[in-house]
Amino acid sequence: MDSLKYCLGIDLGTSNSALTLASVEDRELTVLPIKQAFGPNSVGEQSGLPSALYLPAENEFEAGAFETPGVDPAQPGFVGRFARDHGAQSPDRLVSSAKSWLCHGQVDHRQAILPWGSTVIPTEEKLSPLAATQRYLEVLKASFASQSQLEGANSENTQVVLTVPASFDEVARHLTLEAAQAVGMGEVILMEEPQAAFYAWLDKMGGNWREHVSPGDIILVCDVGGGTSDFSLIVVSDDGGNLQLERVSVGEHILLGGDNLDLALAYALRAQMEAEGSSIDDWQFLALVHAARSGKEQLFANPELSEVAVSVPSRGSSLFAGSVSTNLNRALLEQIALEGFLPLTAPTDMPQEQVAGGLREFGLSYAADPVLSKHLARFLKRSLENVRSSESLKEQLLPAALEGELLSPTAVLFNGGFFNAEPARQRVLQLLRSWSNEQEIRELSGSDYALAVAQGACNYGLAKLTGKGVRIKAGASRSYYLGLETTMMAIPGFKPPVKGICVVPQGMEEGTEAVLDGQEFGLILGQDVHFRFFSSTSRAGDQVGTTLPNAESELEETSAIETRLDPLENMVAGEAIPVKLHSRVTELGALELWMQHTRSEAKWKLEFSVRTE
Amino acid sequence: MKTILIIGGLLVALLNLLAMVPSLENVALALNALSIVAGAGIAVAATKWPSETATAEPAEPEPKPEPVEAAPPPAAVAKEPDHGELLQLLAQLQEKGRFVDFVMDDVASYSDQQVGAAARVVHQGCQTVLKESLSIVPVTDKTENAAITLEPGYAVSDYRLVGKVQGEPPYNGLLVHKGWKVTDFKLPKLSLTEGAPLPPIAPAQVELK
Repeated sequence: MDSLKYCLGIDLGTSNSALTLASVEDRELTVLPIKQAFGPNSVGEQSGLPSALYLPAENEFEAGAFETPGVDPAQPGFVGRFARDHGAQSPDRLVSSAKSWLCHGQVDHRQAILPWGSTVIPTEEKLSPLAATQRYLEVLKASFASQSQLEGANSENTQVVLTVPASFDEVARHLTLEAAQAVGMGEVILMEEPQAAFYAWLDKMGGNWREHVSPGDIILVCDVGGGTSDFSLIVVSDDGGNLQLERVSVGEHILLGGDNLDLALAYALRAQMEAEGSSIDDWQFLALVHAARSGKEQLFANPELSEVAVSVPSRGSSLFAGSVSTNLNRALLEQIALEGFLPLTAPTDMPQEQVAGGLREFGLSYAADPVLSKHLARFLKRSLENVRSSESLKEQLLPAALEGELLSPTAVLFNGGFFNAEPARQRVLQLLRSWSNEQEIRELSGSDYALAVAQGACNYGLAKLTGKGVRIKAGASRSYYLGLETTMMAIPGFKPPVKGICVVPQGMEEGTEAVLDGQEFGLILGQDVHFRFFSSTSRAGDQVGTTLPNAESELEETSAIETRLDPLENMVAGEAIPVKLHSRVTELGALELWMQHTRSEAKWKLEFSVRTE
Repeated sequence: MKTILIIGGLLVALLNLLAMVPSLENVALALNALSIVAGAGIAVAATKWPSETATAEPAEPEPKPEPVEAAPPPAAVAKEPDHGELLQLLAQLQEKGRFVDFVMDDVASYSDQQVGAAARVVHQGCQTVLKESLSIVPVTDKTENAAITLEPGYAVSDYRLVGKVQGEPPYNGLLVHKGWKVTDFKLPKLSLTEGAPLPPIAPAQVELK
């Protein structure tokens, strides 16, 4: 650890990534510019990297037009700003949202499937979600390698902290770590994005943070980015006179964000333009989305304005003849942004699920219900269940907090570009107050909503390297279960339930190990072993060995795990041996499962894979 | 270099002219903004290649010149203009702000409303490009239309004296325009192989269905 003198924070976002760098010595954070293609033969720098990869047709551009220093020119396609902008016009060749595919439960993350549904790109030229993630990381690494902001920092002496959504399950975390190691990122640890945002806030407050929170506080970290929303709850408690912070609950992966709002605005504006007698084509619609976003920002930034003009350029070169404009007025914006996305719903209003039955196009599971308020209600409801299930978590809270429908936060830390708009923050606070009998709910302010995650990652890395600074107690964000078929008499038409045995309890800390003592498995050497694997974010009380009679109804199936117990020394294939299951959370934050021979030191690692049904 | 100054100068003139057309009063603001864009282009050029502007006039002597025995100042050499750099900036201004379309279109045959709609596109896009590729700040923080004093030793190239110019500084006058300058460049780099033709400002677009 002594050799690590710098810390690089990477916010690997669904739509945008950012880098921060600091040295352990002066702890001064620098946002690194990222080198990327701005066009053919043009390499520019900007503070963020759009997470987009474009796969050009063979003759679309001149050979070598997208060579970026430090990035392997043999790899197909190019990443970044021009990829996003150009790809918007040729979506069949654009790889986007790779991160959401990484946590998709039903696809093989190593299989070349992106751009999803593209018919112009043959399968052998497509990329897997894992490969696309590697490509983004490669570009980030190249910018880090050639940075001039902190001389002397290189991948040998730099601790890398890579953020992932709190909603990422073990498989997605594992794949992210694997991608980082494949591109040679060096020493990498993972951390949850909402926690990173909280570390950034702690750092902003300096020594004063204790004046802003007190024991019993339940802090909601509410992160709404471009394409996804991610929630976490952090509880403040008194630990022998010191304030202790513990992350007690994480949300699910919700594919709903600020981009949905911009699109909704653009659709409304297009209808308005058509009513006014002008029409726009698909290309102009893309421009309208940008214009709507900037109109929204202007209106939200300046409460005095009642409307702003929104113009869409012509497609051809005659700008005067073909440009169309309309007005975005405040009433429409508020109707869509506040009443559409954040209406004041009841605490019992849950998001509508996808209508069952009928054929549905297979793809990313975008939120079926665009109402963010309801997703927040569901998160807080599950959080309450989670806390109620655990004695140790209940102790940290005031008794009043455990009553009611939801776990009501007492303070909110906002993150993500969506919350640059003051009215959006106010509306969330108003909503939460309406759910908690109009109790005061504070805003923990002072963060940079776009950069806090990258900054917080860096702050966390520095704290870890120096041993100084506040740590949020976290550990595993969910509990994990092994699925075992129950042995019972076969009854026609009745499928026996699958038992779930807890192998990793929620909150299991990094660098610790657990053994499933009550269960011994008799496995045959040389044969493939296959288990179903489940998880839950709302069963904090379960310990290793806790058994649930029906895993399918009570838990979420996340992946399959498999291994092949190849015979080791002095063992022969076909022999049945007794093994016990060991689980370990590594220092890097990855979960590992091992089958350990009960009578020797021999052990086999279990691999996560995609479930096939 | 000269090319950039000439083009930039023409743009300023053109945009200021447009701003003076009475029927375009309501877009004058946007046009002024554009002339600033163009003016900034000149500022870019001027700051980027200071050695070339030095040929115009010898600089004001320093207040207390140190009697150091130094090599004679290198003679100013007129370099070939870097057309690639110019194209990069123009390409960005065109791509994000439709700058070239705006200037090359025939403004006379359109209504104020049409020109206004186009001007908003140009203003928004060009502002974004300038903010991200350059750091542009006023030459002086003093208020326009207020008195200003230029002390002896002031940065001569930062100020343009007009009117009754005579005598030695300090000069007492009225600040009519606060000026613009570039303090930092973050222009994209053109990576072309030796001898390859320069790319167009904007390629022609062809849609395949």
